[in-house]
Amino acid sequence: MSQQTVAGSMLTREWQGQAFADGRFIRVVNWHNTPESQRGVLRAELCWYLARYHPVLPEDLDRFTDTGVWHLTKPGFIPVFYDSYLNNATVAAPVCDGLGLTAWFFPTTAILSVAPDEQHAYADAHDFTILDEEWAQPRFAMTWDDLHQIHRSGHIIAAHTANHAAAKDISTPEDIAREIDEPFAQLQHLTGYAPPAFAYLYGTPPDPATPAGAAVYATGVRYATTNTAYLRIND
Amino acid sequence: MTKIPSLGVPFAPAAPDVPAVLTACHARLLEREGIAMFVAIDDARPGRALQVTDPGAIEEGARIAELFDHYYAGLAAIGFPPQFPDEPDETGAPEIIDALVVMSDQHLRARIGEVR
Repeated sequence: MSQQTVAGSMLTREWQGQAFADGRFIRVVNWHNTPESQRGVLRAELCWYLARYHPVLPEDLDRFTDTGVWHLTKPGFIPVFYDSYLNNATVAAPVCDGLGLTAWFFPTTAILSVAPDEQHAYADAHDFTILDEEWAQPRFAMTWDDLHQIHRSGHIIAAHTANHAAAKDISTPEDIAREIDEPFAQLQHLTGYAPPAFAYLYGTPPDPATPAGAAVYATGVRYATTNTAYLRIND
Repeated sequence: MTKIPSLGVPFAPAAPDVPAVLTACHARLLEREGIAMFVAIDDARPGRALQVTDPGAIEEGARIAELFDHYYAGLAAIGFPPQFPDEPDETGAPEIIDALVVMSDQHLRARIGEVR
């Protein structure tokens, strides 16, 4: 099926059901805020998943999409942490480290450089949620150094635009440079590898018939991560 | 009280009261909780198609497809009530996502400290 055909047809009941029926599925668990108060719950949940499922790395997905066969000892799942929340660096990553679990992080990159005293205003404008229990903290977003530490711990760093942007809001060359190309370059510089996956705000699939979608494909990213699917879009 | 070991796995019985599951999902604090999801995998590379031959994936996939139909139909019967009626949908697929969330809540989400 062509890239454009997939993007145009996948958001239907029939497509989704057929993918499941064909065995084309994966388990994912998506987190956003992971506050300190939930550290024990998060650890217990991850233990629960680890007892039943095997954490999936990008190369595992590559192998499955290339061969149609899982090589893992248990069904796979992907633990994912979105949006550059500081508590992902202070709680989620250390909990995963303690369990020997490799997780996928989808940071939005602009907020990594936003000064602490500007983060509340930035959050209001970019669909980030500050939890009541963290409202008085000096900052609630991680920094580039925090993200680098997460990378150094072995976790996967994927891309999620610069400013938590939705596909519909990326249309001009300037938008594409800011929300797609620059975050990719910055993350690749940080980690030494191209982000293996990309997600828009709201999890819509990239449509290669649009400038933004074409730009996502042109980055060479292997997986488009959407609300309903992981799509292999590049080698 | 007895733990429910059967929940959180595909071969657990489908929940008969789908609206009740949706209500429970809407009550959860998803901004600070893990959102379990069964999602599709596909190969959209030119000239490529994902043909799964893994027996385990095919067996589980058939069950998940059956569950997806069940939960989708259960939500369709009540008109897919949105969690936030006053907010426009930005996803392009609210019905599918709701069906996935409800199904995954019952057949994937970690059950920690839950008793019935």
